[in-house]
Amino acid sequence: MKTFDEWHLVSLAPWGRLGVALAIIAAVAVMAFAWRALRREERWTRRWFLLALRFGAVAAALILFFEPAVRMENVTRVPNHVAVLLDASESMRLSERPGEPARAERAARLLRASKSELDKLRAEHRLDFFTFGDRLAPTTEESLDAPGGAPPRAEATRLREALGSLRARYEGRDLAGVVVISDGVDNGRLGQGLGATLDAESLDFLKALDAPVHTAWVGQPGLHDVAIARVLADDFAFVRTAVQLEAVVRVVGGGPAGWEGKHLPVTLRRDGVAVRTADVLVEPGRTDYRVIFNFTPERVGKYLYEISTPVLAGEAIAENNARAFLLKVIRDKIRVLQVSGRPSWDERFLRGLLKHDPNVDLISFFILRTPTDLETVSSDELSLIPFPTEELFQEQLRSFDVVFVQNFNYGPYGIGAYLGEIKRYVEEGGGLAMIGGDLAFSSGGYAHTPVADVLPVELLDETLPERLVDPQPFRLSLTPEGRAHPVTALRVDVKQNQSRWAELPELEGTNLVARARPGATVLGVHPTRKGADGKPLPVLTVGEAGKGRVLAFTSDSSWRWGFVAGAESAERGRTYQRFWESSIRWLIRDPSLSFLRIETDQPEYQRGQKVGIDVRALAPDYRPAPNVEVAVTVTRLGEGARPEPITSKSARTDEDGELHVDLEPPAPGGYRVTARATLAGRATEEQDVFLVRGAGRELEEPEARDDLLKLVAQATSGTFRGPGETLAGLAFHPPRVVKVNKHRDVELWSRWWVLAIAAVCLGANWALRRRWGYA
Amino acid sequence: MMRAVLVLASLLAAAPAFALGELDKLAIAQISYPGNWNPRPSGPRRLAWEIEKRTSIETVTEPVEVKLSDEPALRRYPFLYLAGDAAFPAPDENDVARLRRHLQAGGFLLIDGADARPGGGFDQSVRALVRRLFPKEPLERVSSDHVIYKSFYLLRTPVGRVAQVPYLEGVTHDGRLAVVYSQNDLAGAWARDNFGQWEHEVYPGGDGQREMAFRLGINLAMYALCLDYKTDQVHVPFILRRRVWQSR
Repeated sequence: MKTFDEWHLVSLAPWGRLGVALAIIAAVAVMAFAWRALRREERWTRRWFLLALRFGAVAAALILFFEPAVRMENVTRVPNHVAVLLDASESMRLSERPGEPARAERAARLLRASKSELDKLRAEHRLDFFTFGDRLAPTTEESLDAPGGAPPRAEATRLREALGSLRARYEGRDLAGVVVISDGVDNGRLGQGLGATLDAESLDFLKALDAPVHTAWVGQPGLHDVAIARVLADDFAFVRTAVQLEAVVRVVGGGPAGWEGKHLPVTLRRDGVAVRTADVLVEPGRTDYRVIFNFTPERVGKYLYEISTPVLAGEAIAENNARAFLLKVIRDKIRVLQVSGRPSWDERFLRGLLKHDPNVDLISFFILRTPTDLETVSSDELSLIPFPTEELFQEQLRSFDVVFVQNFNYGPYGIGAYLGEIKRYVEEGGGLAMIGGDLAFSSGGYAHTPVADVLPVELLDETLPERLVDPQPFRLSLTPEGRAHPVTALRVDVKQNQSRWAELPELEGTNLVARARPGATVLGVHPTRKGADGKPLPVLTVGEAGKGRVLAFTSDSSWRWGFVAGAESAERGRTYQRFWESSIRWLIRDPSLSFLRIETDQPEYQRGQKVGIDVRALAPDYRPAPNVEVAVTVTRLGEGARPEPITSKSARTDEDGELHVDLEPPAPGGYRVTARATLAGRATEEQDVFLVRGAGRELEEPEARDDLLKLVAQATSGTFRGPGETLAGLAFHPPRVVKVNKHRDVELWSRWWVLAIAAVCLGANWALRRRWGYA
Repeated sequence: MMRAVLVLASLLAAAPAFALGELDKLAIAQISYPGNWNPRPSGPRRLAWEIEKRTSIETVTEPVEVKLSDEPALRRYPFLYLAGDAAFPAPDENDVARLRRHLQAGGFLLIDGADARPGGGFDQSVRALVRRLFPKEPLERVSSDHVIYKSFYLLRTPVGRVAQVPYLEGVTHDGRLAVVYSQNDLAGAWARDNFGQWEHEVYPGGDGQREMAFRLGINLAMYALCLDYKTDQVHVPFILRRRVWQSR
């Protein structure tokens, strides 16, 4: 072992930076004064000789001041780091042709083939192995080059972000270089909009790494694939408002695969049911096809949409032929249809209320003249319009959230044929309110009609009109259910609510009905009259029919709650408004009125991610309902009308009325989670929808590309290695960090000749200046 | 064919109407006050009868008299009618407040000047009353394209027994006309005695003008019960088409 193998100059003076600065300033000042004193000397030989003597003296003084020495060291060089990054994104599990090794396997083979080269590097470098995809993760060489290792599953490839993490990891450490092994499919910042060159910002970033990045491409040309490469859709849409979705279908290798001239159907499905189909004709030399779907969601809710193409023979990947997303359909306004058999105060006050409500889009149809009224003038002198029965009750019916049938007899207007349509509208989720009067319920001829099937009251089968109504005034009496039901909850406090109802003006007469339908909820009854079942006569009754809700109010004088009470005080007058607003919210299943609420902790999950489900149960007074048994069921969407649940759990709510259920990671797809509980004596059900993502962005553009890897290598003075090449001959920075084992300082300043030079220079300078006449 | 059968069956199935009560019907409640509060006694009744016959509105055909001091009566009748042919005593504050609350809560007041004298005693009393009722919402001319002129009949100008003032005036409250004032003696054109004779000559338009006065009365009743229904978008193309036809 050599005693010393390196040397360098050091200063042994303890003066610090300030002392060094002052010394240099003093030296410069001395030389400046000398120059100034000699600037009039005409003989340049004298001037320069004297300056040289002065300079020699100053230099000698500085040597004495700084105390220079030669430091001799015995050192050892520390190996620096070579980072080997292997792409572990999902695209690496692809192979371009059936039967060929996957890209990941080709990468493992490359590492195995380069093993001796890598071992040689270990003499001067330390090799660190990482995988990268959506993030950088350390790993071992053994796990990378093992044949048949774990399949790559990362959802994205972000080389720039991985190199950024690498730089942070090696901050302050000696990085000799980087080796990147990838198929070149990048969906991070480097890959976005990649052209013939890298942008300036990316170049700056790569240069700042201060290390060569060698790249090895394990892809191959020749992939045949059809993919839904991109879907542009908002997270939400407004009900009954046209929505546009845009998808890009990417066909790679269509020519060699023999797909040119082929028609590809592109299908849009909602909850598994096809709603739109478009056609794509595969053209020579074209890869991207833009497909636009226009549709109008008719119902509020959360839906799983999927755009897909069939899998063609010879396709490399089947998973990227479909892409699913959630669309939340919300309402901007509640669309209400008010149909009334004649102008009346009841109709007028309801219209006034609905028309004033900014959240309501009201369509009214009133019968202003019946077939029995006198016709004295031509219809051109009237503002009357034909009753658009077909448009209202067939074409547009499902566009309404709520239909008010207010004192309306369908018979004279040819609407009997559409009553079945109204029933179906309700069963499919619509809201229906029948309001009383001499043209409503049995008086309107609804007994034994399809509408009667969905009403929450059973109608009387009478022919004598006087036996179908009771004209006597009465005060509505709330039932126990009505005291806290959202429709009749004018006040949160149950007692205050009761007294508010007791203060309301009397109603003027009622339609007579037989009884409440089984399963219906009677909220208000006649104080004295009984139904056919001996129970108090229902006046205000609500019920459900299929997916829809129905309200029956057998009076035509609720307007008095607005007019009479409103003339007494504005606050009392608002009772009418609150009652009907609450009724509408209940009819449209406003989530804020539900006693049971369910929500997943996020709308979409990555594959393998746990799903958190939160359930909240509320008592009729909207306080938390503790200790309520809740059944949570998860079913897969798109598996027919009665899908088998994949999970069913039952548990009780805690003291806050809440229940949290964790679901083991389900397979990719759309799911509906349903909570069922009995609240306020009624079976209640609420649902939410979530999506587990399958193929991520990786498989949207699966074709391997070498251009990015070439550019990265070029920008960092690295080397690009293509198919069939190994990692031999890669150049890295030599180790820069050394370890000093021992050292010795040999002083230069304390030598006799330094003092002699100083003395000779000073003395000669003094003597000559005197001789040549300088002061 | 099938549809026709179904419609017929529906008609047969429907039971004839039997009202739940009188309150939901349109009653023209005439305000009484010290003085000649009822100069055309048969006018409102005749209008109610015409409304009943020509439209689907159910009316109370018997005359109804209310006093502003009678709050329970006021609350039964949203449609009030104030007529006169001379100055009338200003109601006291309580009566004015009751009437104001009535109109603000959704009521409707039709004022009919039987003297047909703009600036006359009745006119002055009416304007004073309206100023007290709605200090911040003045009596203004009702625009000729207001829905009141197309709520049932398509009308151009408001006329009564006379065509003295070619416009109506009104007070708009909360987006609707709460008060409508005619100075053309509407009830004078409507009035008919028990023998079927018209009680007053109509000038200058004769029976044609009388018919227009009835149409205006019906439109006013229709407006009180349907508000701006005829401004709904669905009606617009029909009405525009008929307006064009009329203008030719």
